[in-house]
Amino acid sequence: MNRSMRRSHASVVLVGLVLTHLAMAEAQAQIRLLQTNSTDTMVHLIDPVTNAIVGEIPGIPVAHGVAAAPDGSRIYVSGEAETALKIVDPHTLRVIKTIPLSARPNNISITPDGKKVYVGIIAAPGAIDVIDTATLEKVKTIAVPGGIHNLYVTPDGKHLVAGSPAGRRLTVLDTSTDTEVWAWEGEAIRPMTISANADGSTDKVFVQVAGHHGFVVLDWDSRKEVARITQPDVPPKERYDSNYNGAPAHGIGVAPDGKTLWSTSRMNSHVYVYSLPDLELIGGVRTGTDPDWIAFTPDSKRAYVANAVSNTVSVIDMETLREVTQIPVGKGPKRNGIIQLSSSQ
Amino acid sequence: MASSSCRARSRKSGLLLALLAAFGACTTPARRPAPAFEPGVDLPAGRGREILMASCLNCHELSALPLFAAFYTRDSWRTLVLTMKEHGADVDGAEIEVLADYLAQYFGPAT
Repeated sequence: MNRSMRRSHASVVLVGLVLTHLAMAEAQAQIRLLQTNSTDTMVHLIDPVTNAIVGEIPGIPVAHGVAAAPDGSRIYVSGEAETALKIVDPHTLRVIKTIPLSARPNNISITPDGKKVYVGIIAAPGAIDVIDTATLEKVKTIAVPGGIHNLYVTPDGKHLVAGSPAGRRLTVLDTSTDTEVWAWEGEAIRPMTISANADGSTDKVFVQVAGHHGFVVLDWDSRKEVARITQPDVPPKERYDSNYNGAPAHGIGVAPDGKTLWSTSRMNSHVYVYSLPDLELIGGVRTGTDPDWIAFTPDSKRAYVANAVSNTVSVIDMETLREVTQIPVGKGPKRNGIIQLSSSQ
Repeated sequence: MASSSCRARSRKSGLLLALLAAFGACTTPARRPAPAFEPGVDLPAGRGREILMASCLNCHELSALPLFAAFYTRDSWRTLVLTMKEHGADVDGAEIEVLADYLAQYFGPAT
């Protein structure tokens, strides 16, 4: 290869590297954290590259749950004040449709194929509303024992796991029929998260229950409690003085790579990290006050913890377990999630 | 933005209640001394105020109450109070009605 050819080859490689880098940056730029503000009127969009607020969805007082369509084409937000599910265009960040719900909602969950959104109805006597995302209509209200606070579609999309604090019951539905298949009773159910086996089937459900500073581990196949993890203590003077709304731990998630479990502590203003599947404590990270919900970037590099009293979001480097920064948001930030915008957006 | 218009509609002097946000549930029904309000919070006087302070502030800071005003009727508030009772709020039958009246009067669409 002569000098001219070598130079040409080097140029091609350089251009290739630049394009690859730009493509990676573009791909990263298409991810947004969706952050609700439970005592405010807007939902924020945060760019995980800059950790800056880059968008705001106005006009949703007392937003509770948030979820994104798997193809990034829509954002769904449940509004407690309006008793409605708001459908949002991720381009314009405007509400394009408001779907009245059967009663006051709490959290929501979407199926992996994006075809159904389930809405937990916390108002007594409790229910689950089913939204068809093709027609954008409420097509069904499923009666369940006790108001539903949080619900989750399993990673394989086959089941819905719904938790009731007042009903002290975890209800599992078959998503193909929307009928109950089993239940676990006796505890006031708060946030949960779900781990999957290598084949995608459900492995465990990790359940935060009222009054317990930690979480319960439910084995999916046996439908039984197999462990109860208590999170570390801190000296009393370092605790946040509150009754924690009955839930000293209120926010839990499995990292996208499936290697770690993260559980927040309102009591200690920390998030604790456990290895999976052995549940060994890896460490803890101090957050803002009253850490609640947690979301992760799809590459499992950053965790975002909503601090409901500090009115901030803690950004945590998941490898070093250090808080990178806190992002000021609206009042009472709680539920959050990730949207991966499609390339056309 | 809707936040300002909503607040303008409600025209409540700074108030309370996130009664709902976490409305998930408080499981500590025992009444405690009502905490002091945040600076600037001004809740109209009345029996409903006393019940709200005694039964709701145990679990909920009340800063979002005005956000419901544009949407919540008396029936909505009553249902919410009943839900909270299921979650452990210490309110009896008569207090439920008083509280629903109070919330509807000061945080209902007509106000």
